[in-house]
Amino acid sequence: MVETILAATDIGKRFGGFVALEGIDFAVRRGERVGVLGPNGSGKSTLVNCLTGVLRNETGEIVFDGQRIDGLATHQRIRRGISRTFQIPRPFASMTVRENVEIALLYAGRLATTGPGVAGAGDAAAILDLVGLGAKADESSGQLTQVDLRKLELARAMATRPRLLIADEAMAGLSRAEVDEILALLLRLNAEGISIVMIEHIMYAVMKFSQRLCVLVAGRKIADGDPDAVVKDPEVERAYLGD
Amino acid sequence: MSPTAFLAAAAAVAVAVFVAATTVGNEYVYFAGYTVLQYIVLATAWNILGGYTGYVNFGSAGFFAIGAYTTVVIYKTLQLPLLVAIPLCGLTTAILGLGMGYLTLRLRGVFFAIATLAMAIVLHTLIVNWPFVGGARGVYIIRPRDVAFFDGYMQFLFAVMLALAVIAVWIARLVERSRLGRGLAAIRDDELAAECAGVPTLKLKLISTTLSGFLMGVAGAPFPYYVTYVDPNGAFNLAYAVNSIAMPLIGGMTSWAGPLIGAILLGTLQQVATVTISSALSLLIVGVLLVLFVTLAPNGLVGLFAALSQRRRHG
Ligand SMILES: Nc1ncnc2c1ncn2[C@@H]1O[C@H](COP(=O)(O)OP(=O)(O)OP(=O)(O)O)[C@@H](O)[C@H]1O
Ligand SMILES: [Mg+2]
Repeated sequence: MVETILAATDIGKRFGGFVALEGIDFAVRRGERVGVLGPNGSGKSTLVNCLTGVLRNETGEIVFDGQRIDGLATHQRIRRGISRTFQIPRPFASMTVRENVEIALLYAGRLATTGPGVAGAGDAAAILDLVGLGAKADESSGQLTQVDLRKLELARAMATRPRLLIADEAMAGLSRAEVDEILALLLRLNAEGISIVMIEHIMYAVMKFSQRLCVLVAGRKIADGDPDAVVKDPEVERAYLGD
Repeated sequence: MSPTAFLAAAAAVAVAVFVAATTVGNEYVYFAGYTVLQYIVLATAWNILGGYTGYVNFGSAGFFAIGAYTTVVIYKTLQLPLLVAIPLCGLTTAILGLGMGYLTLRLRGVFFAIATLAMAIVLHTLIVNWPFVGGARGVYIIRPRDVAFFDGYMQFLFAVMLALAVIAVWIARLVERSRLGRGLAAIRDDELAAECAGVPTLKLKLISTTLSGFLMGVAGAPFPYYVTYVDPNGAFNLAYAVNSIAMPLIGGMTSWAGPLIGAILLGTLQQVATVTISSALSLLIVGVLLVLFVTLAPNGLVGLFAALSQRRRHG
């Protein structure tokens, strides 16, 4: 059993001449809750894309559960137990809410028969109940509200039976009550053994959730450690919180 | 309905159609019926890639023609009977579909469509410059004098195409309801989200282009025996490319019934228009209907029926 579930070292990514990520070391321990902060355009989503294989990092390596994964296609990484939500929800719009979740169950969830998962969530209905979409299972996913779309993103990510879940701004645009709802959900998943990375601008949620906090600024990691210490770091205050 | 029950039901319908055609007892019924059936196969084939997977293929005529020309090559070399030639034609165009899939992997939307069109043009040029299969002049095919069990070769061709239509629709329905079909639908809706849900999008797209190619070649396989004179302009006819898109679009692209309904309606309409007015006008009708459906009923007739019945249910 490897103590670290994810270890990305020296990750670099350019778009043309623009350096989106440079020398990023990012690790997650088994069962850990990590928050990621950073101004708009600092490279948070790009990091998620590199970790999941949606984009290929040009430098560095990614080890998941003791094995190199940076050569693998996205669906292979997902099947190994990394899952992510999209910052801008991407539902399968021609399908119902239930069918959206079933895709992930059919293609990734079924493979992970052991390991931590949602207790008793053997099928789409249970997962939808968990995120509070149970009553809307048969609605067309194209008709959902923004809040429900974010819940669907989480439901679909969970249906792949992840051991590491990366939530890319799953709470953006939600009301305080809705943020609390999602927060409770993520904490519950974490309690069942899933490591979670939460990328978020909402300070309150980040501080409440994170056991550790990383800060990205302009493609570089400028801080990584205890959340209370990190937010008091002068460099972080200057670069991010002080503006 | 289970796949086996569906196949049995479809076969029963096919037998009924065949019996009905024989009672008319007119050679023309076979001629016209063959064309409609051929379009059922072609439209169903197109829809596996275009409707289920969301990749618009403008090169159907190329696949159809390569299917037909494979029969020509077999006719001139091995001289195998048509029923043996058909799967070989399908194999040829399946490989063509796989190749097209590989070459166009990174292309989406309009760029993919243009690439398929370009491929059809390249294939056309190759055939025109290949004297063995008649080049630009074309080639004559002599039908066997008679076939066992059938009252003339045209009746046999009609029965063959009827069987192929049953098989094509059966395969499409099977795909649609399988894990594969669900994965293809995910690709159609959002390829990146599909990949992130664990769907091996690359593999599934290749299966889709291969299967679609296979059925298109099968649709073209008996063509040389049907026309008895094959030339590039006939085999690569624009009508195949246009109809194989128009029929699923008008019928509905998300289910097996769509291309079937579209092919029967449009195919019959074109036959009637060709006989009563002219063949040029029949393609014009397709064009007009296409514009009407794209603007007024983008989900085709199947979608229209579904919307209407839903409205009725909700009062
Ligand atoms: N595919 C791409 N091609 C070119 N540039 C890109 C691409 N993706 C991201 N970028 C650029 O890289 C930078 C980092 O983008 P990224 O989306 O990772 O930021 P982010 O930290 O997630 O920001 P936000 O908080 O707004 O979500 C931005 O300047 C963005 O414009
Ligand atoms: Mg982002």
